Amino acid sequence: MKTKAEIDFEKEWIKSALLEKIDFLGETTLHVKKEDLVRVLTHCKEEVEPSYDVLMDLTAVHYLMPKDLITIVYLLHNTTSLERLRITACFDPTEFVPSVVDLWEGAAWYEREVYDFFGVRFVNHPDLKRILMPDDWIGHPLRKDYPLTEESVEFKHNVTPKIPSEIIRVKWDQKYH
Amino acid sequence: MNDTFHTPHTKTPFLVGPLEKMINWARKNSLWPAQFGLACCAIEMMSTAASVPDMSRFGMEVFRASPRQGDVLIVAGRVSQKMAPVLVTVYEQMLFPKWVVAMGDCASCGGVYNNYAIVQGVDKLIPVDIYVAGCPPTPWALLDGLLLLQKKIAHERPLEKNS
Amino acid sequence: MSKVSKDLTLEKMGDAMELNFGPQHPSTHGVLRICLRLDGEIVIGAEAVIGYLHTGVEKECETRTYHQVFTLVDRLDYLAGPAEEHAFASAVERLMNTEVPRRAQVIRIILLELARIGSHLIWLGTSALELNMSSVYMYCFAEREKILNLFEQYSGARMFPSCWRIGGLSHDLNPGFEQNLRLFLEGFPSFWKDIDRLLTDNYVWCERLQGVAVLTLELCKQFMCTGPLMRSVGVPYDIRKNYPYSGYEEYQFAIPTEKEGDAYARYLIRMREMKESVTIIQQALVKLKPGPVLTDDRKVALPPRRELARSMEAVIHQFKLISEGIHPPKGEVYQCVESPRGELGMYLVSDGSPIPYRLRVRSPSFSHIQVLQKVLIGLTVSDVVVAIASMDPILGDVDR
Repeated sequence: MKTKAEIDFEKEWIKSALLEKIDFLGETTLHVKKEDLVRVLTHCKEEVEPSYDVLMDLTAVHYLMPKDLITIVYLLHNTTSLERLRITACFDPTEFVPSVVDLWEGAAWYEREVYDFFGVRFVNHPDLKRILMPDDWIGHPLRKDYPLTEESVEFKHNVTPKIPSEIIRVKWDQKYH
Repeated sequence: MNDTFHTPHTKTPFLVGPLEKMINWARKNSLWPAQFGLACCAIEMMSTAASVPDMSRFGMEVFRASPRQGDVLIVAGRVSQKMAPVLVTVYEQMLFPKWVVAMGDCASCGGVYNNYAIVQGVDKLIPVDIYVAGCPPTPWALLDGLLLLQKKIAHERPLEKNS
Repeated sequence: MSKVSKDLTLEKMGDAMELNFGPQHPSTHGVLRICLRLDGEIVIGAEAVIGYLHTGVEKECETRTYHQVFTLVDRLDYLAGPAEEHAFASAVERLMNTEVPRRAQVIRIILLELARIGSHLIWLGTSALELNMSSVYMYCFAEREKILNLFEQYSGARMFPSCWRIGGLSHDLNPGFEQNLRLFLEGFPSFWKDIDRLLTDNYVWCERLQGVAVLTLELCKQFMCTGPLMRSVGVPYDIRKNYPYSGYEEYQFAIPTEKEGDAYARYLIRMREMKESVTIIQQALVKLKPGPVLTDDRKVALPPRRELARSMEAVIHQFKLISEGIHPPKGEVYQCVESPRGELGMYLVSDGSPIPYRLRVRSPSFSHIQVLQKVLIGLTVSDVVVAIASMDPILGDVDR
C-alpha cells in the first residue's frame, strides 16, 4: 500500500508562490513564481513525506508570444509512492536562474544543456559551459528565433533549389501564429 | 626420393605481369579499414564484419583502431559540427595510399537531417571515393560498395606521377 | 583498490598524466570522449566530453508534422529504434485521447521485446569484444541477424521498422511471420545457455567485471539513473511494471535485481532480461487475436486505400491528414517507456497546431555518462573500458 505524497496547498507561502495548478491527462503541473522556485523544490525534496527524491528531467521551453520568456521545467519523481510532479517557472532570457545542483548533483549536466541551447545562465553552477555544441559556437540553437539553417536541395533540369521545409509541409505559420 | 634434384633455379614457377596490376592486386585484396563508426551505420558496419555477411572473405576484417595503420576510412554515420575537425585530423593521419567510403545517407549527403548541426555530406571535408546509399545500408549493400572500391583500385595507375 | 586517496583534487596533482579516451576509439561505444587524468595506471580524474554526435533532432522536430517526426526520432537510440517510436506515438495518443486497437498493442509489445533482445545482444557482443573475447561477438551478431530478418520480414527495414503510426501500426503481420518468430524463440534458449556457460562462471570474465564501477543507491538517486543501473543496486524499478503502457499490465514477467551494483551485477541483469523478454513474447503470441491494427478515428489515422474509391469523406480526411496533419489539443504530456537502457521519456508541448511546439527527449544514457565520471575514479585504465561497457551508453541518445 503506497502512501501518497501530500503537498499541503493550504499553507500560506505555498498559496502565494503557486501561480497555477494544472491537472491534465493524469499529470500535475505546478506553475510557481520564479522567486519561490528553489524553496518549492527544496520543500518537495526535503519536507514532503514521502519525498520527491529524484529529479528525472530538467529542461526549458522558449516562448516568443505574448512575451519573450523561457520556462524552466523540472520533473520530480517520488521513488516511494511512484508519483510524478512537474514544476515550472518563467524567466526572462537575460535573467540568472538559481541552480539546483546542491539538491541534486546530477542536475549539473542538464543545466549546462539548458545554457547551451537557450542561453539561460545559472547561479552557483560549478562548471557552466557548452555541452553539446562546439565550445566556440555563437548563438543558442533551440531558441525560437534561431533559424534551422537548412541547406537548399538542388534538383536536375534547372528546377530552382528549395529548402526542405518548403517542400515537405504546407505553410501554416500564417494560420496558427 | 627422386634422383633428379629440383633446385629453385630449375622448376620454380614465375609469375609475370604488369607491375601496376600486381600492386593494385595486392592493395585491393588486403584493404584494412580504419575504424570510424559514428552512429547507426556503425552497427551495420559491425554486422558486416560479423559472421553472416562476413567481410573477411574479401580481406577486410582487420579493423585497425589507429588510422596510421588503416587503408580505407569508412565514415559510417552522421558527422556533426563538433566531429568535423576530428574527421579531418583522422583522415590526415592516414598514410598514402588511402581511400574513403561514405557509408549511408548521412555521410553522403546529410541524410534525413538538414539543420545547423550536421555537415551535409562528408565530401565537404575530405575527398570521397565510394558513396553507399541506405539508411542504414544493409551489410550486403556495404559489401557491394567495397567490391566496387576494389574494382576502382584495380584500375588505378599507382606508378604515374601525381596520380 | 585505489592507491590514491579520493580526496585529492585535480589541482593538487601537478604531474598527473592526461589521456584522451576517444572520440575515435574502438571501445567507447560511440563517439564519447573521456579526458582522464592518470597517476600511473590509476584514474584520479575523469571528465566526459559529449556532443560529437549532436544532430539537432529537437529543433528539427519543431518544423515537421507529427507523422514526419517518427523517422527522425527512431534514429536516436539506434539499437532500439522501436522504443523511441513507441514513446513518441504513445505521447501523441495520450494527448489526442486515441484508442489503440488490441492487436496493435500486442504486435507493438512483440516488436519492443525483440528490439530489447537485439540491443542486449549487441551490448554483450561488443563488451566481450573489448575484453578480447571475439567469439562471443560473432555468436551474438549471428543470433541478432535472425531478429533483423524478422524486422525485415515485417517492415522491409532491418534496424528501423518505422511502422508505428499514431493510433496503431501501419500494417499487419505478414503470413509466415508468426512461424519464423516461433522458430527463433525455440532456438534462443539453447543459444542463451551456450553464452551463459561461456561467460558467467568464466574466471577471466568474473575477474574483469566483479568489483568494477560500483554504484550505490544514493549515487543513483542523485544522478537519476534508471534501468539496469538502478536494478543493480537492488531497486526493482521498471516502467513496464510501475507505469504500464501498451497492455504490459496483463503480462507476467519478473524484474531481475542484484545487490552489488558492479559491472557483473549489470551483466547478470541483462542476461536475465533477455530470458524475460522471451517469456513476454511467448505470452504475446497467445494473446494475438485477429482484428484491426490501426484506429478508426479518421482525424488521426489515414483511411485504408480501398475506402478511398467508395467514400468522399475518406478522400477529404486523407487530404487533410497529409497536407495539414493532426490537431492535438493544447497542453503538455510526458510519456516514458522502458528502453533497454533505462527510462526513455518524451516531453511533448503542443500548442494546437499540426507541428509539435517542443519535443524533448529525456534520454537515459545522458545521466548514466554523468555518473560514469564519478565512478571511474580509482579504477585502472583497463577497467575504464569495462565501466563504460557496463553502463551501456548510446551516444545517439545522449547527444540527440
